[in-house]
Amino acid sequence: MPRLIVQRFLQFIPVLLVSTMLVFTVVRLAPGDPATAQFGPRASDARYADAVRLYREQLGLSKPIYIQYLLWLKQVARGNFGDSIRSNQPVLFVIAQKLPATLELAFAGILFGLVLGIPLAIVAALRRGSIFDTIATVLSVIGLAIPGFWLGMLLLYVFALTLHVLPASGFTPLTQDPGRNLRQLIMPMITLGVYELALVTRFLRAEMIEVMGNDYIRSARAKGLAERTVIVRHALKNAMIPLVTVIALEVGYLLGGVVVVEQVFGWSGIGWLVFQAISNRDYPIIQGVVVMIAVGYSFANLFADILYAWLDPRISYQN
Amino acid sequence: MAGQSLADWPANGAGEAAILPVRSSRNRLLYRARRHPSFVIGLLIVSCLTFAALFPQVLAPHNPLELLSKSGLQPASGQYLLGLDHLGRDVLSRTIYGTRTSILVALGAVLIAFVIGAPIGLFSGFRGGWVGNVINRSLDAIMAFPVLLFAILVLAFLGGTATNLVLTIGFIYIPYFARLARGSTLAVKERDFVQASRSVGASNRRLIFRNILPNISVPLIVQFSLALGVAMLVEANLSFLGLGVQPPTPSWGRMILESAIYMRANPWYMLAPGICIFVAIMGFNLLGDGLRDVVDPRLLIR
Repeated sequence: MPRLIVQRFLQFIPVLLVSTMLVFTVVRLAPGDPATAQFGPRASDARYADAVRLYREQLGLSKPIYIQYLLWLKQVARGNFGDSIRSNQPVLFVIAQKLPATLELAFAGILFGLVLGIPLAIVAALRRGSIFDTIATVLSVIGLAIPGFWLGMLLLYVFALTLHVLPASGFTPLTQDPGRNLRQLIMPMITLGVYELALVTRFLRAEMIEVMGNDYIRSARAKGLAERTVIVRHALKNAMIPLVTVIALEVGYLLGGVVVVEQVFGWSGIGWLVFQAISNRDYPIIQGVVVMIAVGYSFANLFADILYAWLDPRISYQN
Repeated sequence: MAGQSLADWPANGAGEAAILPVRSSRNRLLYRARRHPSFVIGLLIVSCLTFAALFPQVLAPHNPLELLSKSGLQPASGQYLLGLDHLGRDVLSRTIYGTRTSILVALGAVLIAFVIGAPIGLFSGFRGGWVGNVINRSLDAIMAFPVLLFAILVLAFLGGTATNLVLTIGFIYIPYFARLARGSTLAVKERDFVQASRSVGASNRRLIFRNILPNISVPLIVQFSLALGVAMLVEANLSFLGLGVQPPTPSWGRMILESAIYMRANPWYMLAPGICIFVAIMGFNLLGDGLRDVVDPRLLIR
């Protein structure tokens, strides 16, 4: 088992490097560079050529691209992403301020999907053709197709603008006013969670149906085990395994979706931060957030990989 | 009775009852298609979308770029069925023309991903060995990057144009097709008929085109349809963030963004494009799933 962890970790490092390389490349591909930003239209003027060249050399822009990448990587590893163009604060500092809000929302969204989805999937699988089955199927089809931002705006229209039941937007920290925070959390949580719910319902239901048809379930029943034990201890445990992978993959979707949902509801987390940065052309922030999210996502995948191996004994035996 | 083939046997209800087990493979497919409503509905939706994308002039009552009113926003009325947007343009027409934008971007992106990804995957699976392994690992690394986030990054830095959209979304989706092609190729490669062909000395080229390709095409086509849905969703999300095709070209996501403040004044401005995105994605999903059900290889055993 420890050997498995090491092996997975070693595979994970190149993935991490590729992620950072992708971000670095995209940022460098943008038209212009800090020199043109600094000098403006004079950058291409022959009279200023020497000054521009000197400026570029000082910033290390004349070095070969792989050297630039390694230098940048060294900075990033230290946590230095540069400063926000708008506020002149270190990027990491700005991100750290907004991160808890996003974590709360992401956590709530996933929880929403799991808490509602798992029971629904189980019941739908066990009572094929019942009303639960129909609800589950319809929900998963709709949930996977509906665009998150639109659903958010629909919820806003109905609950905030028309019924005046929930606050329209904004974010108050949990520590400051928990009641208000939770009321503001409801709609964004549902908006994000619907996709997760649809996913969980669809895959767990299909997996449960397949698992329940297996021989060992029949044997467990023949042994005289209570139905509940059969379902939970044998069927569910085995059906959950691929679900772990699916959820890990979909956290990736969530990380993008968060940008949009936070914007719709004015939930000031890092998604909202990225959107503001896009409007303000605050490139260090955009770069910093994307790198952090990509790295975080890679770690989450690594964790899910190890968890998957741990849950499924067949895999650790193979290794 | 000479010259009559099995394909001539009737496939309608009366025929089926009388001659049940005998059916040509084409009629078999049609029969199965009718039993899977999701496939039919998906096909219907996609057909309507294609028509709207190809011939918007036929469906739209007005020019989507024309400013029909000096005072801007108007709610739904007899004259303008879905009202006017904040610049005085007909919402219905813009929604219909928006189909073209979304479909073209989604189709372009998925085509790129397919045309580049599938051959890579096939090559990787066919070759095997460490070359295949290296390719696989690289694909994994690219897939590890959250899709929407990468698109946001690229378009924020390089600007939102239709071309950039197509290329970015296409690039992100290459590993998905490559992965699928590789997996299917690996599975098919080990099957008996491939081994048999190989043992009588079939060239690689013949193996690929006659044995492997026809057998991996089904999952690839299913994925193509599903990918169209995803690509459309990504495009809509990016447009909503302001990173999609720039105005005045109508784009569903962008329309939803611009309609946010006018929700009360003209709710259709927000509802129409949203419903279209929803129905479109659902259509591609249903079509893909339906295709998978209808052409299930397990039930096509000869």
